[in-house]
Amino acid sequence: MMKLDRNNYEMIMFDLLEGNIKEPERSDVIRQIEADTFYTIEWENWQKTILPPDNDMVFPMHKVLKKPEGGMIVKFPFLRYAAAACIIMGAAFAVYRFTTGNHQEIPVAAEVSGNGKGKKPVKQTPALTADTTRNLRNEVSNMASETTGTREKTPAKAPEKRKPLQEDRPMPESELPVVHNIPEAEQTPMQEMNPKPNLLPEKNEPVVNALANNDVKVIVTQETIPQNEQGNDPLAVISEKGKQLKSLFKKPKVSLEKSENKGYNVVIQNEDYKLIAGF
Amino acid sequence: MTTREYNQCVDAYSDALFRFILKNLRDRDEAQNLVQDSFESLWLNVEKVEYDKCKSWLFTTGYRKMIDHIRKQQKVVMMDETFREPVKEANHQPDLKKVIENALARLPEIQRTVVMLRDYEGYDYREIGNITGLNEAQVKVYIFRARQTMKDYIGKLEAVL
Repeated sequence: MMKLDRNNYEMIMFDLLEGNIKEPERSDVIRQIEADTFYTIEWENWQKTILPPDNDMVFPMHKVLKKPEGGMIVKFPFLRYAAAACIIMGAAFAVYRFTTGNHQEIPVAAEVSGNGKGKKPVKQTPALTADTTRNLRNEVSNMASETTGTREKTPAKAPEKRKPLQEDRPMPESELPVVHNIPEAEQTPMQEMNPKPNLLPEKNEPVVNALANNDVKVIVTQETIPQNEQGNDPLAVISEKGKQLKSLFKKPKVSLEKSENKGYNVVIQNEDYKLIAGF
Repeated sequence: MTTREYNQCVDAYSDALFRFILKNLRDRDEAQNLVQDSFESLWLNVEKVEYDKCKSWLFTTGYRKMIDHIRKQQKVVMMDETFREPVKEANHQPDLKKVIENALARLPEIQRTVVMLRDYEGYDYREIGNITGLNEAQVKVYIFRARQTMKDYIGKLEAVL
């Protein structure tokens, strides 16, 4: 039997409130509380500490939390790892592209012509575009103005619409890229503008040519077509010269020798003809 | 737990969890966020959690998220500070419910939590201990101290009035 006093009444009232005291002790404790005014007031206050039900607070987003029913729950816990791996790989690829993107690959020709066996690949310079030509021209002009002391002011902004390259000012000859191969048909006007001594051989003499030029190497193969017995047939003459040149490349011996102007000459020679190309 | 059972959990316990968190935080938006986070966690673990334990699982998760949030925001109201404030109520007879809410709001966080779990949700000491990480004796002591503090607060208020 529990006896209420001023030292233990709070613990007993708490147990009574929490339902920890069972009958018949419960009835006995309540009887002791009602018998004393102080205990009665204290018990009333203890009873007020029980929180009243509060149903006013309603979560407003039930529909957001709910999931559609009827479907099968398919879980892919590995998806997050796959996504992380994809992100890392994408970042690595981007870094790789960024670090290697500044190097311009130079296309390499596998062979120049015909059967390429035994030939070394030849590096080809990148194709000239309007932009690269324009940049090259600006660089050269800037360098020239630096040497002369008059620096050309570079425009801050490019014009909105560039005209085609053909309509720009003509490119100085010194800025022109080196042309390695010039078709024979285009050599005629140049020859006329800069007449050279006719070094073409007579018949049964070696073909000695030679046109030494710093920019363009031209093998002179044209001469005045002579009158011959075949009725002045120019095709026959050209054909004859062609045969000479063609025969020059039969069993040729190629050598390099010093020229008089401290340059070098390439000598192509066989039993019948000799061709000297100077540069 | 199936999707249907998960939705039943939403219907049955979202309000209770929201009330539990809101009364602790007193921040409606944060309480909504934490309830959503708790149910999102439940959905992610829907295959592991049994339906009959989802309420306890939800309140445990919600309680931990709430504690994390309180520690981040440092919104813990120290009991000593609250009791230094003079008790000022309106001249008219205050509503008992408001008085109890005020008394509850002045409790330390752990005492407020165990009392709410006890009175609102009807958990026993062992279940409250599972949610809060306390043992049964600690839970009982915290509930006793909470009710004693509330009783003193209510008694003082009535004496003033």
